[in-house]
Amino acid sequence: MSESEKASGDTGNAVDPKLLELLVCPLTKTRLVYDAKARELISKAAGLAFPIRNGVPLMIEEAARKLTDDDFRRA
Amino acid sequence: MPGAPQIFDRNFMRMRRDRIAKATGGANLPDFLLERVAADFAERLSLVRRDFPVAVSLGAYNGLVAERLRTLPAIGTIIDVESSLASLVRARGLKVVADEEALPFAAESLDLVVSGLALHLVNDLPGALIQINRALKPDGLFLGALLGGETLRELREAWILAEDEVLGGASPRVAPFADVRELGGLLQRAGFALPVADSDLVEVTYASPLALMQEIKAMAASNALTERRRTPVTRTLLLRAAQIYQERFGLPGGRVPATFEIVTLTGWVPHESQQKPLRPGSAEVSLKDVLKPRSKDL
Repeated sequence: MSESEKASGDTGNAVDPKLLELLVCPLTKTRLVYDAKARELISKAAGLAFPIRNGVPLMIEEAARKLTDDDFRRA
Repeated sequence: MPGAPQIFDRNFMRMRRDRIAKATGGANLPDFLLERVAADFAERLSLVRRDFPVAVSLGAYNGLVAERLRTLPAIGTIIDVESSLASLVRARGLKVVADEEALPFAAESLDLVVSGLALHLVNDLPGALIQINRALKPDGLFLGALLGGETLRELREAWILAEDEVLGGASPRVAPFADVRELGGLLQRAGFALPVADSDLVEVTYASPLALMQEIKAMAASNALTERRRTPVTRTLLLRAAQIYQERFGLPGGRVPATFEIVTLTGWVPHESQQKPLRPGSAEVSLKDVLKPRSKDL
């Protein structure tokens, strides 16, 4: 468990900031946008949102959600 | 890489690992080979004089390799990367679910990538190595162990003979493992400097051929080849394979041996501090002088 997770008291779902610095989209290797509310890592280049489960980013295509037009408009 | 032949059914493999991990509470089983690899990695890394602030264990299974390496003072953070989320349930550090063939790490972001017995199961090993190379910083280290071509040679032979005899034709049952001689070249082609591939044969004995097959199944390592025969193995075929195994390889006393070849790869991402061959023409002594017969010594 990282220090930041302990500090926020959110031990279940927060993703470690260290991971966020390292991760890119596995398909396009481009930057990801972290949506803390939806707990998703968004790759606009691939049109996919990768979920975070219990603090673990699921960076596989099969687990990802396809971005909708709405997602693109908001982003 | 979409062009690579799909030798392994990776989706099937991940689902099966998820299922087995759930059934056994996350422990990916008494895996003596993985323990051995973890100890070997720890020893090799303890001999390297540099720190590795950010490391990844790729194809982490239950996190055993990272657990072992976390005790080394040279290793800072080590992240478990595994395609089956359920396998990682008990892993204690940072975790990411990802495919070894589609790495989610930024270029030049890692100091060390270790991989314990996972890369022999990818469809595109050159592609995976190139991605590892790209994710490592200059002077970053890749240390990977994978099963080599001698692995389960006894079982491979027994299955082929039994299937040929019982069904009149053989189908692939034991995965094609890479040859150690090719792996060194592959590292170099993926852009690694100072590439080394060494091989270690481990012979284990089992009470019977069936006990060996049970263990392989328990390790979630049984047949995941795309071209595998989809019909279930009949009792006749299974028993014949076991019988042939026993006849050909049985030891006095009834136990049977099984060979595992562990190939360990090391490669560094090029950096100016590393040893290099000299430029052509930079020699300070003439080869002619060196080769000239020295009459005094004769």
